[in-house]
Amino acid sequence: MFLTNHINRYAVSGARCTLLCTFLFFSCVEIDKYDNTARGNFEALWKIMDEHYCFFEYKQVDWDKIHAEYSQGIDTITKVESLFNVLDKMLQELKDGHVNITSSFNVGRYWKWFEDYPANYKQELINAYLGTDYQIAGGMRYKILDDNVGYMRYADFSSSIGETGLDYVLLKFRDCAGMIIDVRDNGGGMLSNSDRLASRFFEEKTLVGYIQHKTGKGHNDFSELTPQYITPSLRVQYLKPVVVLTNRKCYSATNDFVSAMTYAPHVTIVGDKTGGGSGLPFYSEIPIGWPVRFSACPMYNAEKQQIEFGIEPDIPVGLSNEDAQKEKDTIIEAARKLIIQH
Amino acid sequence: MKLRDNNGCSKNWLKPIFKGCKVHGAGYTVREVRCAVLLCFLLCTVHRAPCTDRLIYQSTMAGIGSSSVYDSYLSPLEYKGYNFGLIYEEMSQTKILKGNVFAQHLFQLEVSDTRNPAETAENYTGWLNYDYGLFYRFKPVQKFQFFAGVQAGGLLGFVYSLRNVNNPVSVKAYINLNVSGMAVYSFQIKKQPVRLRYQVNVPAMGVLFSPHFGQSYYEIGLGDNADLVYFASFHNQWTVRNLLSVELPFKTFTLRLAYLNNLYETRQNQLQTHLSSSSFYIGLSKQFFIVSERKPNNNFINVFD
Repeated sequence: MFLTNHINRYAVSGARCTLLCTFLFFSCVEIDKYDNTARGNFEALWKIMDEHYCFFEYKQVDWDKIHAEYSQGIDTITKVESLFNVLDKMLQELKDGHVNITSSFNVGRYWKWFEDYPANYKQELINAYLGTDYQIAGGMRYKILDDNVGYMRYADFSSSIGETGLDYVLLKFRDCAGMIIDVRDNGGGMLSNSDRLASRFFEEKTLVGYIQHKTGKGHNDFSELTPQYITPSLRVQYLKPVVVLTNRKCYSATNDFVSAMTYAPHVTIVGDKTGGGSGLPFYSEIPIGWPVRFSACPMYNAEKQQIEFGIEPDIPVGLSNEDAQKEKDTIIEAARKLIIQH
Repeated sequence: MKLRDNNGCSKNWLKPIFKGCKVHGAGYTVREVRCAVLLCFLLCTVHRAPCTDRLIYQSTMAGIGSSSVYDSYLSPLEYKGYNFGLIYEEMSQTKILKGNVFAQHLFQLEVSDTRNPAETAENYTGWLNYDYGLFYRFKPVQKFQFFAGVQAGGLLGFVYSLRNVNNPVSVKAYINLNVSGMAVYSFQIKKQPVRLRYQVNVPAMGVLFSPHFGQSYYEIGLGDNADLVYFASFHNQWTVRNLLSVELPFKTFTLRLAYLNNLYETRQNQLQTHLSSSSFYIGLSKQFFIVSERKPNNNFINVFD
């Protein structure tokens, strides 16, 4: 009797313990499962964009309609390349250079923001101006032109732009009439480099824009605008006349830099309208393993206006073929004249 | 102070006390005995409370296992891979409730390397967890012990995507009050003592960090840091830690083998996190006295006797 009572008691305890342990091993978060099929990848991509892309309303894109249109025939796709082409084509409906799907054999892209416009840039002309005796500091190439105008070429905001290097560049130009910052064909990079460079040209803390983010999955679920300021650097500043050269390939972080510099006191923007790209891009992926990039956080200028489709220059100037044949860059020449006449 | 094991007292601690007294050959002089008696009298009368030594249980283990990582801020896919971990535990009796309450320090470090189903992307996950707990011990029947208590602790960690830009990392941070329980069963297999222990920790309430649904850390860096800390409980946080271990005391060491199942899940701001791991650990444990400066005696209670 005593033994039976003990066994019964432990059996009940054991059963309760087992149940508790089983319960405690149970997961509560539901992870979306997507099939690695053409349909599965299509639905995953569409949903990622539906929940995270930030420009549906601004660009007046009916994403549900696009789903209906591109969904047809998905189930008949058998080749990986065909699937890629369909998904890329769907993403191009957004007309956004920050939206890409990448596979091991191709990178989907929308480049009409510069392909449909004059280039306004020739590398061989830049080589002629720089020659072979230019100096290099991080991602910056710089020299003083023969009319005592400083010229700095910065081709990629992904390239480093150190504080000490910037000090040397600006000190080099301290006796010049002014300086040119050529960011044409600069497709963007790190926002931190954009802020770091811009901070050398402001005398006081200046509001230069706003940024916001999505707070939910709805197309209009956005946060309040967070202000963006440029705080003047405590290192070498340059407060003489500055001309920033732009063209249609100025995108993303370059677009952000140009937007900030429009508020600097001694800066003039010369060239062509920038390409835009004001959405801070995030990454995600679909079951087949292809990453997808998309605009997630819209940025605005200080007047809270959209700059997704670019920034107009203060002085529009285009590259002239006649000048190019004489090894002259019309835009650089216009900038030099502006500085000298200042 | 000098550490000693729980096999008996050591006389070595007496040497510094006898430094001023002379020793002549074998035995002690009358003057030496008077020194000792006077010293013992002083030690035992200055501190009126009974002299007790505190037994500390300490365990260190290293482990390896499998991990599953899902973080919707970084990817809609579940990543799987392996992990390495370290567990350090310290437990000792307190004076609360006539010595029936035991204090536990529990540190856990885990790093993992996981990949997406297509093996085209890789995530690194790392976190450090610390819990301090107080447990009341029940001894309903011989060889069985149950500990029930609460813990206060926190976790700091990250999930890092090697591929993502602008949203490459998801920070994990929480502070919680946990409910915790432990069951201990001591038995023998032939002449080998075996101690089987199971502990479960369940955070009941606290606070956790979470960015907003599509918020970038760049914006947080700009000063957009409102509403990043949230009340955490069973409505948005489901975390449980199960640790099952077997201890095999040998002559000079105690081997500890363990299985750890970790589950960390949150749902906040329409972001979901699921971090789970199953790991096997191996290590050593020991119990030792810290001798107080009071007069030592053999009044002690083993933590797991």
